[in-house]
Formats: sequence, C-alpha cells, structure tokens
Amino acid sequence: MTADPLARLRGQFRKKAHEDAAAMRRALGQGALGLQQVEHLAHSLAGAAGVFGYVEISTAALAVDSRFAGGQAPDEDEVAALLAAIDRI
Amino acid sequence: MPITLMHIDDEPDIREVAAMALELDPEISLTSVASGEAALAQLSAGARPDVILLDVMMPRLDGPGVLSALRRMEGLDETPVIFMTARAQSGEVDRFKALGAIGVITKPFDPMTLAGQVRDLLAEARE
Repeated sequence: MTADPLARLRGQFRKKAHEDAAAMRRALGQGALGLQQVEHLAHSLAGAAGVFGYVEISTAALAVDSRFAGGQAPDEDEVAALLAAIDRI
Repeated sequence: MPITLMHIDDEPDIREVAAMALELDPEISLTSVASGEAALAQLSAGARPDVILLDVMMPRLDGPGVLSALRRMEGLDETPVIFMTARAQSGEVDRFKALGAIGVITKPFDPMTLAGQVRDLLAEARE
C-alpha cells in the first residue's frame, strides 16, 4: 500500500483551518474593523483547502473571497457555510 | 531540461505542498521564499532563477508589486513570472498577463500536475 504523501500536511491543514475559523469568528465580532482579516483568511482557505482535497471548504471560501474581490461585503450565509464546513472536518 | 525555480508564497502549508509537488520533477531546483520582501532581497543579492512562481495576494508587498520591482532590477527584466491565485476569473488573468506574467496557475492546484503546468507555461513563453 502506498502512503499518502499529503497525509502529514493534510493534518497540519486541518489544525490550521480550525484556528482560522476561530480567528474568523473573532474578526466577525469586530464588525467593519475585522473585515480585512476575514478577507485574508477566506482567500487563504480558498487556495489551500482544495489542494488538500477539502473541496467543500475551498468552494465555500471562494464564495466569500469572491464577494471581497468584487468589492462587496461578505454574505452572512456564505460565511456561515464556510465556518460550518470547517467545523465538519 | 533542468530549471531553477523560486516560489514565493506567504502561506507555509502552500509552500510545503508546492515543494513536495515540484520535487516530483527531479530537474527542478527549488527555492521557497515566504514574502515578497525576502524574495527581492535574495534577487538583489544575485539570485537568478529561470522562473518565478509568485503568489498574488500577500501581506505588505503583493505579487504584482514584486513583479513591478523585479522588472526594474538588472538581469531580471525578462525573467518569466507565473502568478498563482485563487482569484482567476478571466479578467484577472488578462490583467496579470498585461503586467508581464507568462501565465497564471489557479489555486487550488493539483500537486501531481504542478511541475508540468510550470513547464508547459515556460515552453509556451519560449515559442
């Protein structure tokens, strides 16, 4: 049987994703002041999650990131979907 | 053909998985750098990679800022640069190419094909 070369990194990613979710919840609690951090975290997750096979997180993060890219405020439901997807791993 | 590649990304997990992916190609010699500032410091000190793989969105100095700076540095004005981004809508890709990038690799990337994507973009740019 071939060992998964990404297993260790995937574990690191899961840990970091939960830390990112906690940081995102704190940033959301800061209102407008926390939006830049929410954008940074969502963008980072959009890029990394898919690399490690977490498609649901990647898709949800990309939806949040796309709002920022379009100059819009984040959609509450999309942010909630991202946090819920992270909570499930 | 052997190539030297500088990968610039502020995300440690992305740098690590990209290194793992690029090392699948034994002819790629990789330098990973954690920020645009650190990359420019290495390039100013004489580093001359064959190609630069450059994250777009980084704190302080972003990818386009790095590209703009290195185009003003002697010996780096024609170094091929490939952007990596999660925001790769067609308009954005056109904008990155207009800045002088030879191509864009979308995040999330497939670790198994990353080295091939880099080689393909380099080959296209050299045609």
